[in-house]
Amino acid sequence: MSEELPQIIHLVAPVAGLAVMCGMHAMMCRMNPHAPLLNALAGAGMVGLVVVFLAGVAAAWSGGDWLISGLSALLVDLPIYGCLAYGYANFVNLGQSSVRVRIYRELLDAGVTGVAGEALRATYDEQSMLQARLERLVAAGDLRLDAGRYMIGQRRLLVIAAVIFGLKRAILGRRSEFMP
Amino acid sequence: MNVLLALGLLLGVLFLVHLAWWRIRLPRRQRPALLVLFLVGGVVLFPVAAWVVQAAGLQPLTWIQWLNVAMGVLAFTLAYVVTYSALEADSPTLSLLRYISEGGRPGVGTEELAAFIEKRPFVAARLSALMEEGMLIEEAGRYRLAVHPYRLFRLVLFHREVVLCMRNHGG
Repeated sequence: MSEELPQIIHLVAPVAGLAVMCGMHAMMCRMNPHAPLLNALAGAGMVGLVVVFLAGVAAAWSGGDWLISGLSALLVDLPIYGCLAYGYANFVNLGQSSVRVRIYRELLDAGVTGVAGEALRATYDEQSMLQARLERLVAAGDLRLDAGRYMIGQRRLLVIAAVIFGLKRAILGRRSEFMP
Repeated sequence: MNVLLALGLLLGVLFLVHLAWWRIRLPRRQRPALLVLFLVGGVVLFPVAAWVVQAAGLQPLTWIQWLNVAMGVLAFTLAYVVTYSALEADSPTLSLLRYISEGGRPGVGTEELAAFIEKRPFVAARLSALMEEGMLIEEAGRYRLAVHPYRLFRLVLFHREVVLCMRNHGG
């Protein structure tokens, strides 16, 4: 058992990190409902990261080799935690910004009779989607509004955009779904 | 290090197979195909990874370490499938940010943004996609939900409203 304990700790560490991240995120959202989504996720993600780091220390302390435990935590546990945390962040973001989930919600509220196309467009169309996104991006500091013109604020989402558009070109060979 | 080698090998081979497959022919349902490729392919390639670890002169993996490798493949697969949905269909937020950042302009006005969005009918495109997938039905100009489990959408909304206590509609 003493030989297996460090391995068990490494196995559990990313899941424990994710569980703590989810709990912290729920707590932060309840305490400050108006906080930008990305900031709450980043804060909760950092707490999960600390848990993964502490698990690495615990694995080394429980009989594992310090060098091997350190490398395992850095090269295996942290990337696995990163993937899980990224998956959770995207799951949360679906509720916030997915056009499909929003359409589903509008139709769910409408019940079995459904909703007329014009009424749906009056509640949610491209312009209202644009407005909601601009407001969120300005509130989160990703955009600045100066004399009626929008400018880039923080560049963090631009880095993600560069990765996504680069992957899109590499894998699908196109820049946009609207411009093949 | 044997866990890292087995994980790197599995993910590397699976990703190369994915790239080759997608270059030859795009699957009709891309995300389910990706899930099957990475999860089933991962299981099929386990013995190969075990052989490579042994051939490299490293200690054979214990069952706990194999579970760790499996969790790594699962975590990467989920993260990649989530990312892939942003490759298949454009993200309105990221498209918007890229447009505003391009060209070194002194910012972008509301009219330019409206024109940009007009050329990219995100809501109409998602409505069409939902109808193609059989989740929505259009009858005499009215839209209604089809009889469909919508498990993911329900889970997303339950988590948003009950766990995170967010009451606005999002979108």
